[in-house]
Amino acid sequence: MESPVTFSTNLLTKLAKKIMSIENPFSQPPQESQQEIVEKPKFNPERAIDDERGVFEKLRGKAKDVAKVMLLMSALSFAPGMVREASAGQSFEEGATVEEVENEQAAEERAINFLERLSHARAPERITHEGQKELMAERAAKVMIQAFAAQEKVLASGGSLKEGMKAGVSVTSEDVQKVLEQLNKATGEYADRYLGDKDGKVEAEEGNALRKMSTENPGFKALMEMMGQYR
Amino acid sequence: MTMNFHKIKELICKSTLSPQDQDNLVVALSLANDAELEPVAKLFFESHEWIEKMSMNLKAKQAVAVSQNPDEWRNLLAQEESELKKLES
Repeated sequence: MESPVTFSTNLLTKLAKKIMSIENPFSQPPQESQQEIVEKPKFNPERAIDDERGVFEKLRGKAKDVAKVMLLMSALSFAPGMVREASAGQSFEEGATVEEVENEQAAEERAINFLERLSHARAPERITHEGQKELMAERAAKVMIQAFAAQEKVLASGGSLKEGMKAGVSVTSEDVQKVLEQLNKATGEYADRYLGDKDGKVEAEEGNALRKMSTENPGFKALMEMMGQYR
Repeated sequence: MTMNFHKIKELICKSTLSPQDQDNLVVALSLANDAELEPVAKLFFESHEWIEKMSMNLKAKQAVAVSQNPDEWRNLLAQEESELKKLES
């Protein structure tokens, strides 16, 4: 006769403990911790900026100026998408990345430097006739603008300027138009930097300075003429 | 044009902030456009002290953005309010 299988009490206790320690995947989390999650208020960036604006709206004078900057800091920290909204009351363009800002700055600097070079466009020394001298200076300026368009085309493609220029770049009318727009944007800053402020005193209004430049300077005359053509 | 950003960046680089804090402030401000930076430029030109204060303000807010702790935010807001009220008087 077969003897029944017997387990020692010790072994059964161990087995029971083991079973009890296995977590039941269908069991509900304790009521207490569920309550905790529901009650804990969440941080809401948009609400935070609204609250801050609410507090700052009551301020006056210098405090208000500082508050505006603090509000911008909040928008930049919590929700960069809200920067525009945080500085309400003004119309804004889309924001830009660091790389975009730096590229834009570099392009603007190049354009301003080019305008400075363009303002010195001149005819070869051998030409003495005044009328011819002016025409040749204008022609030299146009060649400079074409070369600038080629340079910007190479830089925009991410290639090496030295290699690109050596290999030769074909400049289309679209490339010239693009570079004229770039130069047009830079003229305001150029006028401010080189013509507007002399000895701490504003010498000429930007518009007047530009008009003067475009009528008297052969480089700028050529630039304005090209801008007219490509409009 | 990004003139305000350019001017602000120059001021920040000349400030007494650590290079890390300078980068932090410049990168954050690069997300704003020129018109939004107008009041910042005005303030930073006024005194270098504002650059330090705003750098601290930004860092405190960035910490709240990470912790997402509403209490921390309320404390910061109360602190800002009391500092601004002092400027009013």
